[in-house]
Amino acid sequence: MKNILIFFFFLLTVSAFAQPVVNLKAKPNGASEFVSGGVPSFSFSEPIKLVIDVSGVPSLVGVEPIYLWGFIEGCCGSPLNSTNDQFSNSSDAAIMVKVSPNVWSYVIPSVKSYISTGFKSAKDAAAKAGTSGYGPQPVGVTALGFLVKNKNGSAQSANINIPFTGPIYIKEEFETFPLNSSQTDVVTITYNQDLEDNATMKTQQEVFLYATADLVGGGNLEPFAPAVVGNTTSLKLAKNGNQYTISIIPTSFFVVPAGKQIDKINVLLRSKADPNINFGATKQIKIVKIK
Amino acid sequence: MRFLKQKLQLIFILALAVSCQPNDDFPALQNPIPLKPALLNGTWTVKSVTQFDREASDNGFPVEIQKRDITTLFPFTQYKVTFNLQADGRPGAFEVVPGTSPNFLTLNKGVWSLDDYVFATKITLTSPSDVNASSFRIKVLNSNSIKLQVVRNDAADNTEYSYYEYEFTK
Repeated sequence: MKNILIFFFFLLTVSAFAQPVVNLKAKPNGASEFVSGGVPSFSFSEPIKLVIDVSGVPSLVGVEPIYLWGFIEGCCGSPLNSTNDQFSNSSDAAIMVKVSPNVWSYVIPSVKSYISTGFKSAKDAAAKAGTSGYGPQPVGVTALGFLVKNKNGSAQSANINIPFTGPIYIKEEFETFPLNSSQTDVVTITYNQDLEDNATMKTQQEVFLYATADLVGGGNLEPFAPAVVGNTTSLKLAKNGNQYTISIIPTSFFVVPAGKQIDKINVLLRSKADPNINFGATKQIKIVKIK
Repeated sequence: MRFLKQKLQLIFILALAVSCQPNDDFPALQNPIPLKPALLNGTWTVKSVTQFDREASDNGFPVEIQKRDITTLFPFTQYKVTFNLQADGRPGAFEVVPGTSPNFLTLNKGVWSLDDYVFATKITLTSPSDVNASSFRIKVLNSNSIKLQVVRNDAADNTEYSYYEYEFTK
């Protein structure tokens, strides 16, 4: 029984962190080789895991740690690369995770957040690239670019580009509307049960919201404890086919003290009776401050 | 011959002068009538509220991802706003009575103004007792139906990330 439970939680963990994975073999020059599955499709705003084998780059073999250097070619570099864009001094934020000898990985939260907070869409980034001194880019085509290197840049791979054709909407199990919200906005949480991997959660006819809020400067709000969530009608998501939704206004839902600001909302969608039957991982909704 | 020419010129000038007299069929021109304030005058009640996601629309996502009708999610139809005029027809006082509806404006009472009486695009709401100002972006302005938008800007980069469109009727 214990082993079954461990396996069950393992599956939950795996499904919670599922994301497009790019496996490739870096080269000292020329195009890199995609090891499996070629180029996956991904949107401008979803996480991507890069797994890179540097055994084909003699100058990087055995070097530890390996750093990622990200950019959109002809446009802009990732703020995580280094301070002041110094190729000779990569920052610790760019250190990759060692998977095995000469194989390194890095999870990019999203192209949007990784490359620059200044771009609202891939179209913006492509437009910037098109006006740069590096020459015009094909209309509507942008590529997530990167290379792998040692800290001081004396050893590096060739540039690696993964093209994408702009922002793509990909339906996800957990969605929020709008994509950005303040604490006084209407925030709609959507649970697409047809994308649920967990067999028990997939059959639930009633789905409930358990939510807490982290405040700027510290502090936490929990308006409904897990023990009462399943018996609170206002926390029940509205069902429409395989889609469940609930809308809240954070200041009202959490009863935010005067002068306080919510930093983020932590959401767990769960069954009516058992808090342990849930959609796998707490999701966070970042709350912006309005002008 | 010369005398005849002068006589004809005099007749022509007199004819012109007569033709320039005020015509009793048309009223004399006065100050422009502030039509837009007059259209807004009165008490308006919310009929529907739609929330828009600016980033989704900028990204060209499907229409159903770009906007949501949120009218029935909260008691928005209780929301009322009254625009009063001054004696000369210019904008005067306003009052918001939200009932139990969420109120996306920071002010409930004060004075309102328009950016232009003819090509109005924005209603600004101010109150002497509050340094904050609120505003509506005007989308549609008819005698019995108006659509006003409340815009949300991210303080971090001052970009519009969302807006609410209120449809009001009298």
